[in-house]
Amino acid sequence: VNADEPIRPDRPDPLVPESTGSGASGIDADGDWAAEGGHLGWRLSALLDGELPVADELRAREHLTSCDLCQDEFAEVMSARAFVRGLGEVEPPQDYLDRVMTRIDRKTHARLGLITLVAFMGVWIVLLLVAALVVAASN
Amino acid sequence: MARDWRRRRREPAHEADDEQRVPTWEEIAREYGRFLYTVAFRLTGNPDEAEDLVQDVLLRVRRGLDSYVPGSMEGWLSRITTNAFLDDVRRKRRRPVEAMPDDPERVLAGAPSADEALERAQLPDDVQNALRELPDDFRAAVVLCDVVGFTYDEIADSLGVPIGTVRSRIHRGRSMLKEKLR
Repeated sequence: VNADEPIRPDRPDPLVPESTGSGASGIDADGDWAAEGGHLGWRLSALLDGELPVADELRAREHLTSCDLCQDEFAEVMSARAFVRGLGEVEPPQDYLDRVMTRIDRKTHARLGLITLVAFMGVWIVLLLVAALVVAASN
Repeated sequence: MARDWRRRRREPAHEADDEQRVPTWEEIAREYGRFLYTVAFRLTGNPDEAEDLVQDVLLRVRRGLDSYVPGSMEGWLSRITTNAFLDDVRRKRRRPVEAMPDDPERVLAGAPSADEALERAQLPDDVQNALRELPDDFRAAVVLCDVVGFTYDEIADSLGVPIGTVRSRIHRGRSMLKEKLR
């Protein structure tokens, strides 16, 4: 299974009557409840993040009350989420911004210097060519 | 306890007068320097790389200020930061550097006991290290969700991937993170 791909199941959902289909619950127009073998899978994180439509949320919560496996996984992702959210703001090293801005200035000046040099050389080349043409024409 | 500073709960000064004037890149650097550094550090997990990333972001900000549509400055900066980070990752993948097995920061400590793991897992450095161990694309999705406070739609928009991919990356990213913190 390519971990990078969205979940797109090809099995019928044991939690949904066949006649209703998965699209009836909103979010699953592009996914189906059978994706994780009848378990909630990614819906657990979406539930935590408030990213499930109401109908799916109710259904997910209902499943969660009766499924030990999903309850365990829910606790796991909830704590992982809490850990990352609890990291807070990073104290940057002192003067980091001055260093970064100085480097940007240097980069800009180096670029401007290069452009000036190229332009200067271009002018000289044109002048030399004109001079050569004038000499050639006068001969 | 860590301060909750995520985007949804902040109202930076610039957002109030966004309608009037687009700030200069230097003003953005001064006002959002800490925010940029935090997002960059969470993505790279390394102070030097975070500084390099902020430099790249500010250069992009300077070039792209004309295209900035007044709105959420932090949202705009977060998108630029994540894209700059992922571009850098892709560049490095094309030109792989020699592996550094001796880098002590990348070597996880020996397996701790269950109690130690619980204790350790609450230390910010351990969480940051575990975050750094995630695949880059997964880390970007988790950081945009849990550090920046983006919605899934905003993450999909920022990363240029379908929302199904975002759901999957966030959930699997968190599962992997928890696994690494055991």
